[in-house]
Amino acid sequence: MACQEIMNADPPVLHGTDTVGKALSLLLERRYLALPVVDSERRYLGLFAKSRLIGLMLPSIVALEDVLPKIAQMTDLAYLSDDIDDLRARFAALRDRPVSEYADREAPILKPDSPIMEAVLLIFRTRNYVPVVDPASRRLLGIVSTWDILAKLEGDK
Amino acid sequence: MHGATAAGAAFGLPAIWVATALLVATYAAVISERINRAVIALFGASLMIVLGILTQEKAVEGIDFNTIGLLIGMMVIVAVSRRTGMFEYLAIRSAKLVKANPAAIMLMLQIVTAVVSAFLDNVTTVLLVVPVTLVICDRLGVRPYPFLVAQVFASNVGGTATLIGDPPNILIGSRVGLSFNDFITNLAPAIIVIQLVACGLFYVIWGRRFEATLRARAKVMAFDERNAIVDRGLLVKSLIVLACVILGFVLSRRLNLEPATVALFGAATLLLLTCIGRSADDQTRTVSKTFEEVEWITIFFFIGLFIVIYGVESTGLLGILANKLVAATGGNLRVTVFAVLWASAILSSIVDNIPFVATMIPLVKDMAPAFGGPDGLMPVWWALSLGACLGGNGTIIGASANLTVAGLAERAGIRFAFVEYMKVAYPVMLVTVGLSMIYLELRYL
Repeated sequence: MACQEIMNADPPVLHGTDTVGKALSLLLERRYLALPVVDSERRYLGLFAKSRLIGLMLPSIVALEDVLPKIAQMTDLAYLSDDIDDLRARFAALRDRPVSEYADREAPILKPDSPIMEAVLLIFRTRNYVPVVDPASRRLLGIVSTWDILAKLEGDK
Repeated sequence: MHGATAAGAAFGLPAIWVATALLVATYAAVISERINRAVIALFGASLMIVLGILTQEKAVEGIDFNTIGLLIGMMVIVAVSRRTGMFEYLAIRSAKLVKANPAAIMLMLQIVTAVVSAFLDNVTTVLLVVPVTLVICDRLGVRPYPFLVAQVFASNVGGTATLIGDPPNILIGSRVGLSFNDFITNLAPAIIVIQLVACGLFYVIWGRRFEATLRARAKVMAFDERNAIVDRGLLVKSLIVLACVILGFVLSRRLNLEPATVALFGAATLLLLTCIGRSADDQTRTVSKTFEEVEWITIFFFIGLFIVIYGVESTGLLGILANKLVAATGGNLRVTVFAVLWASAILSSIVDNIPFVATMIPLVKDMAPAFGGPDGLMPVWWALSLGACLGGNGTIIGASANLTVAGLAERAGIRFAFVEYMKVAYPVMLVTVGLSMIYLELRYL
């Protein structure tokens, strides 16, 4: 079985020009973990994950810890005096920025004919939604989520 | 000469040519930065053996395990002790001590960086202090670039003060047999003056124009450094071990212990203290996490480099070059010291100072007869250390710490451009080398 048989072919998407504020509303409203970002011709631009929004609330160097040498990673931020108003102020400065600036272009993607086990492994590793993208046109064809796979388990009983 | 198998060199070519070609190719590949430097050094080292310049046994003899052990030992100690949050504590405490005044914070962070760098290697130091500096600058609302440049300088300057502060010193200390105290007594006085002058210059260039709002300063003053300490038990253990290790370095001559033994003993003791009372699984996790933080690229780079240079040394090339250098300076100590100082500084500002110093050591050693034996060479060693360590400040590619900070800055969205850096750094570097020249003249010549 290939990914295209289990994917959700009509997922909600963000357009590259949508604002970070709109992305937050959509994530909160639907309780999604992430949303794919596309251009006006539905070409895939990257994945905008809620973890990215949380990362934007941190000092930039701390949010980079995945790419920093271990020794440069902060042990804790308990010493910072920020409160929720500071976080709101920081978010307000980002609210009108386009989501395309923050879309993760390195997040793993699947092809429509990728085997289903590749999707299961990627979802297990990323704890996220995995976009299905046509390799030739770069168009977003759908998304595979934990729910799609779990629903299949139930349906096959 | 080290009695290698030089006669067996490949292709019927004289060993001296094959070894020289390998050294030049290794240098060129390291400078080009196209391939990871550890891979290049190991490849060059393997060719030294495969092409018959050295036997495997001789190659292993060429590896300076004192340097390797010292580096690994200190890396393990840092990997464990940094988890306590002590370096964040130090930086925040020093920022608050000066009431979060930005120019004074830059001064304090330079001093913290220089002092930490005197006891840890430079790259480790900047990796520990730069992230917290960026957080402080972010909250102060000041441009972090000047802070980062000043800290790059402080790490390279501070590291010059001790045997363990900078890899060139570790190399010189180990291969020449100089002690921790030799470095402190001969280099620290010069370094204190040089660091203070650098602080003054950076104040004039940038610091005096810094502005931060009272609200932003209050934000930094509201930092609670006590919360930076995340593991008090480990902090106490780390501080005790660090103090013992430094004391061990100071007393190493009297105790008849090599610096590598002191560092590795300290590392083993600290790991032992962290393992006691934990489950076997937990111990495995902690120990493997710690070993992951050892910079294996640096370690293998050194191992490969030692073999490449030993191969060249064994063919007698460096002895020939040493004689030519002595002849060029007319056997005059003052001319030799200043030539080594400035040549090391200028070269180290554009190439990695580690392979340069590693090659210079056997070359300088071979100059001993011209200056009345090893004791007569002492000013040359200090010139080599000062030139190689301080010269690295000149450009972004001059030292590993510079490249590390530039990389961190770029990732955090701070422009760290080659020419912009050089415009400020090169003149300041020349001032620091000029001060070293005056120091060498006054004290030794």
